[in-house]
Amino acid sequence: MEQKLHTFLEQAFAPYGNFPARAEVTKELLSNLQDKYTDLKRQGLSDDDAYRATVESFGDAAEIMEQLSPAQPVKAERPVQPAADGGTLRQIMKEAFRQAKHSSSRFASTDLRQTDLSDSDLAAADFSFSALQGATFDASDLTGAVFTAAALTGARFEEANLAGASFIASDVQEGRFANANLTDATFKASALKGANFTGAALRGTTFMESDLSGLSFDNQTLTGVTFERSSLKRTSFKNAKLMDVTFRHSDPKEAVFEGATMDKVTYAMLKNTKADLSGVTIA
Amino acid sequence: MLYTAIMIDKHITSDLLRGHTDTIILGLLMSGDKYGYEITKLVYEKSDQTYQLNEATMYSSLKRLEHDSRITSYWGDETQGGRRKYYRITEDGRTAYRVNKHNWDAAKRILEHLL
Repeated sequence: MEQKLHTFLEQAFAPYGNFPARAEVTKELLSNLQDKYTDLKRQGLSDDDAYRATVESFGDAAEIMEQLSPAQPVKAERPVQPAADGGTLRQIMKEAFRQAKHSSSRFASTDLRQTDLSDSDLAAADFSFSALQGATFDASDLTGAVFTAAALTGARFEEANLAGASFIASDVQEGRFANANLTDATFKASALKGANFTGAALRGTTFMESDLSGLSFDNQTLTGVTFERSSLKRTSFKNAKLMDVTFRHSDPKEAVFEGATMDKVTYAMLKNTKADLSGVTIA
Repeated sequence: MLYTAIMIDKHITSDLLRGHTDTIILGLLMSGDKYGYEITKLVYEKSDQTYQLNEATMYSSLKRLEHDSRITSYWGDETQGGRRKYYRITEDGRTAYRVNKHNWDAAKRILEHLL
């Protein structure tokens, strides 16, 4: 049975390769699982039932990996101390983020409402579950940053580099993305009402399961952008250039394409959805 | 329908409880050093068999507490069977437990008025 439980753990951690603490972690977990298995057997369960109950209550190895990531999370849960003046607070936050960045750490669940984080190096930062209403990220490097279940109402990302960043299940209403680089960025199941994308670079950007109704992409160039299961009611693409844009289950029927230019494939796809393509030029 | 309602209820409860895993573990260690499965089992028993703390959640909580110097660990010297890793609460841990407990009591009072 020890072998069987050992195999179970090996499989559970297989996706993470040979991380440094692996032997130590599996040794301790194996001892816990064995204790549990032995206890269940003592209570009269059959070998199979005891094994099943033991592995079923294991949970998710990802939770452990999150805790073991090379650098431990900075103590982001600690409330931000009010500084004597805004400038100082800003310096402290910037320094904290700089350090966090260098330790490839995460600072999830942080309260950073109205914080000024402009011009900061925040590549690969994890802002999941954070309160960031009205925060400013103007001109910051947020390459690969993660915003899962973050509150970002009115947050500013003007001129920011959000290449490969993801906004999942986040509230980004009134978000300001003017001139931001959104190459390969993903918006999934997020609220984007009133968001501004003027001048943003939209290459390979994905909008999934998000409400884009009423948003404007006027005069913009969209290359390889995907709209999937998103609402496009009155979404405006006036005079925009759409190249290799995909509309999947997004019903662009009520979207506005007046004066837009698009490639044949995009045009054909839109035609199939009965979108109004009058005044559209095929490039 | 009733079955679904109960399932959802249990799910929410478990989410609520998960947020308190660190404090629950600190509380159990207040009365003496314990090893992994002992903690899981005590949680199950003390909750009248209603809450199962899964291994992954417990383990990540233990690592977090250890990193924050709220607990320390050592391998036991079991003469028979596999060796077990024991956890001991530190002074910091005791303080954290008291603070968290105090905060919870305060939150509980507020919720009792509001819900």
